[in-house]
Amino acid sequence: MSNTFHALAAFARLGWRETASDRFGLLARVILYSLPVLIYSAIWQATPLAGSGVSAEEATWYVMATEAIIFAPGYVFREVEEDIRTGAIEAALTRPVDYALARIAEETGGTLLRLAVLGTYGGVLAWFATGMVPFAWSALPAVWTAAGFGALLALLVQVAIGFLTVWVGNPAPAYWIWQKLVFVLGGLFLPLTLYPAWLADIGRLTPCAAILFHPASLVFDASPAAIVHVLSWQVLWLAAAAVLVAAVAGAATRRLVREGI
Amino acid sequence: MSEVAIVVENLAKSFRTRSAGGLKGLFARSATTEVAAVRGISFQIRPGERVAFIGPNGAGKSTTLKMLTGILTPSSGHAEVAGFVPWIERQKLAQRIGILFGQRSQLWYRLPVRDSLRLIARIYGLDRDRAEARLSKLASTLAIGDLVERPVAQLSLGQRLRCEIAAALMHAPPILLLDEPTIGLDVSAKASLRDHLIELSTEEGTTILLTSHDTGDIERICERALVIDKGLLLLDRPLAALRAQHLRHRLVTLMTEEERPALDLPGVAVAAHEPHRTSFAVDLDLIQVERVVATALERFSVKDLAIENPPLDDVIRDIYRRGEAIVRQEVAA
Repeated sequence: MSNTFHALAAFARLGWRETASDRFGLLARVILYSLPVLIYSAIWQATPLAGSGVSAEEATWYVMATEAIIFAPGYVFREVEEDIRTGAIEAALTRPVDYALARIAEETGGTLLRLAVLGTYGGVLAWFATGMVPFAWSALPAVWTAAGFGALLALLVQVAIGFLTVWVGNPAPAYWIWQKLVFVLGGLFLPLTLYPAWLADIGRLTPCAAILFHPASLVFDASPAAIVHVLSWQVLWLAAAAVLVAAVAGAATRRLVREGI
Repeated sequence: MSEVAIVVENLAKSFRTRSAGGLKGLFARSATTEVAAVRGISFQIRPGERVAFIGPNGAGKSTTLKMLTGILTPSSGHAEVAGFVPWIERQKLAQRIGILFGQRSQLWYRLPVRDSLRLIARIYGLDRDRAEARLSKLASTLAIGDLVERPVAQLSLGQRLRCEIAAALMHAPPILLLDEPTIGLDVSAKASLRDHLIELSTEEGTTILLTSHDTGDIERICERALVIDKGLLLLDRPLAALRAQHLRHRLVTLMTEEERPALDLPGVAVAAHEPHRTSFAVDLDLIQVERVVATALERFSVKDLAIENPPLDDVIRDIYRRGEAIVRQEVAA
């Protein structure tokens, strides 16, 4: 058990280092990330969300947070898909550490580094754009934790989607559907509080909101009660996603071992 | 380890393939056909043996190797590798085997080789001191000391493959399974890799089971060959016996004063000729090499001569050609 933990920690460190070594990839992501943050910030300065209870400054911080979370995991499902299509998973399956766990650990390392870079950069950008920080500094660790949980949840679902390769060959369509659901029901550009009540209610209950809306909503309210509420929802969905990944990865591996690649 | 490193008994694997494809395949229930990739093969390998698993494309080599690593479940039959049933105890077996798939990398492309090797050591539960000691030993044996600090992306194929072997051997496994280990390498890189493998196997008593289309790998590394075709084990022989049994001719090359020497002996034919240098194919069923050489020395002014075996390629081609006839012969024997 302890050996597995050390091995997974080593995978995470390696993922972090590999992401850090891809400086061009990180830079491109930062540039791409800047665009929606700056564009939406400009839109809300020009057309304030009057009467919505959300200020233009808060909305800018909100998009900074949701975009950082959505950009952080990258396209993890592609990595799993490629491992299956190229047969690289076969070599991984002959190791004493479970492939899915190792892949998640490695991608978590990379995801956390990207989140740290984008979150820090986005925070500075949002601060320059709005001249304010919407929460107390003491809430910062909780905000980072919630953002990390959101990115991790997105990563887990992507890993499950990647394993669909075993059955469907190309998991991209499944990912597109999932991605659009996250954008809409997670409130990528607008907080769910601005949605029609019935849609906001549905959205709040989905894992999409646990990825984006719940952690990003801490820019409106980072009180201890709000933090506990957000983290509880996220832990619940993380547990569900872990069960989903275990089930899909287990079924996929059994099929691979039975029928080959 | 026990007396046997690998035991395989009547191992068989069939795959189901679906025939319907395209739009029709989305709606219609497609017909499935069963394709037998491996058809009940049996063999044993002793600890420390270096065995080649030879066969043409689609013969069942890789399927067998996958079953022996536990990443493929057989349709029937039994196998034990290092005392474990691979497809049932895959993760336990992982500690006892090293695997190299020549076309697939176990190393992280952008990172220095050392980072990948350290991670692999960690996966196998080696602590830092043991990992560094092992790495330093492998670096010296495989001559990768100056490569380990470089990112994998900057290595040539030959350098990368030496590092891949180090990755497969980090946990000092008693059994090494190699699938086309020298594929894509140039002549000198192949020779160097083969030498390193022999050295490691001799030093550590590592059992090697190797699949390759390159007879050079087989001749240089292995002492025994398993020949498989269409899922059947055609032959299981020491390499020397394989040659003796299946090579019924030799090549005698004479360098003579005479421009075109002629040998009118039964079973002797000119195989190649250039002025003052002639190669004769000698059929051992009809005449002994000694007699051919004696006659040549008697009749011509011989400056030099060479007696060669035809390449192993010819032996293997002959075995494939005779295929199932050999199996029937073996069963009868």
